[in-house]
Amino acid sequence: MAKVTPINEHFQYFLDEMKETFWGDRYGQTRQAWQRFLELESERQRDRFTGWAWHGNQASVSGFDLEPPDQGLCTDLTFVMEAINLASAVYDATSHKMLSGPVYSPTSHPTRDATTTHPRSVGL
Amino acid sequence: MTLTDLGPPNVAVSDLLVAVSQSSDPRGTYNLYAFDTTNDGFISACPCFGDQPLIGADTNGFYISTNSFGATEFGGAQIYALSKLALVLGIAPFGVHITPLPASGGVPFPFSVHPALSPDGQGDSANGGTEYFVSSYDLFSAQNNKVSVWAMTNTDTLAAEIGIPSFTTVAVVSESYVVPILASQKAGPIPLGMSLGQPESTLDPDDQRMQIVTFADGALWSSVSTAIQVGSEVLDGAAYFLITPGWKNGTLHASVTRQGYVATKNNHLLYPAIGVTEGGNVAIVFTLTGPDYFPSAAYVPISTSGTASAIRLAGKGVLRLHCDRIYWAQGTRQIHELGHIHRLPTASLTTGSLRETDA
Repeated sequence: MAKVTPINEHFQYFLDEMKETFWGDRYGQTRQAWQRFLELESERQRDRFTGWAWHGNQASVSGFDLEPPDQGLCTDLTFVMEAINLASAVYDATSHKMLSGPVYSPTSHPTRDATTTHPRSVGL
Repeated sequence: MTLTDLGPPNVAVSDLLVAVSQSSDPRGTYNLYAFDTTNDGFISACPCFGDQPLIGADTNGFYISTNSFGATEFGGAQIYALSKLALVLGIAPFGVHITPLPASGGVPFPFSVHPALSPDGQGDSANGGTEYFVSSYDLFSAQNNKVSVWAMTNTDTLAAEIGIPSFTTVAVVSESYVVPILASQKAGPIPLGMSLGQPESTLDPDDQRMQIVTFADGALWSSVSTAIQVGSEVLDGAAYFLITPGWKNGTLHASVTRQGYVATKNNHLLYPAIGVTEGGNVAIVFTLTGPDYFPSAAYVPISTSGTASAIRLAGKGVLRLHCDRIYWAQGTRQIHELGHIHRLPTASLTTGSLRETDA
């Protein structure tokens, strides 16, 4: 059995934060909903990532704060695949044009109807 | 691609999700996998979830490392090794799960143990296939002068499904790196922040955990964020390492053969990630931010001798990041020279208490 050692204050703070987001926090959800409303008001200031950001923010529906966003990116010099939180898209590596997406990742994966995050991608 | 799946709200289950494209076109179809991580961690900590999944690969395996967290406790770093062949074929993969990890140099809590990628996807063929991992030595320490190297050998057993890989670690002396400080941004409008009554925000550089690890030409490139002194200023920069692993009588040893710092006057470099091409070209990409720049994408080439050249701007930000929202530049990408790299001796580095200086 693994030995469990007490953790320090820095990590305790981090764990408290994770606990809140992991188990849900109604105050946080309400605050995020208001933030989302205000963000929509300012979306006109954004550029090509607008639609993508919308998908990524679906995470806040479950009360899990995914901002600042988690990002994964890879390329084989033909395509660039990028994922942000719950969404992913494919770009042409030369023209930088979006070829597909953004798609809401959990809809294409056998999840538990879940909050999903921390994307990582790699081209092999 | 991997994802962390936390399950429905208020239900204590978690999974790691893996998607493997069935062709070289990422717009096509995928083989999809999910494996339960709910109980992967120290028994007293779980139910848990695998935070920050980090991925790597060699010719035999696909490797995922997570930091397991429960409701009140850290559940320990976890490593999963899966047969790459099975993932490609779309069949259930043979795999191993390593927990708890051996203590590197006696450090009780390995954290963010980053598996290596290689430009050709093959990795090291020694010892029946070796996959390397690198982590910061002790995340709980404000200042470190070591990094931890980890090695999984006999990775060919993943494909053969006969036997299991071995796993070992060694601590390696390196240049110093410390907890980075909160980073400033160029002054600008923050309409969302004003509407919420919030002050102008600083950027969180996270901690000194290991960033991307790349195995190329028999050595491991990696980097971490660090506070660094540039003239009279304390800023965030990057510490990077080239680590050469080796084996003697079956025992892993390693040494830092190249290392250095990257920083620039008046501005911060955040989240340095190092990459190597098949041709051996090395670069570190990061976010550039400070009084002169909104958060911007920048990079610095590293020569074969391990020396950093001038920092180059890849995409200039046009607005502040505020309330968890980042604003990016539109239009063409231009390359600008920012200045020369300041290589600081270890003695000029200061400790994590510098966080208060900038906060």
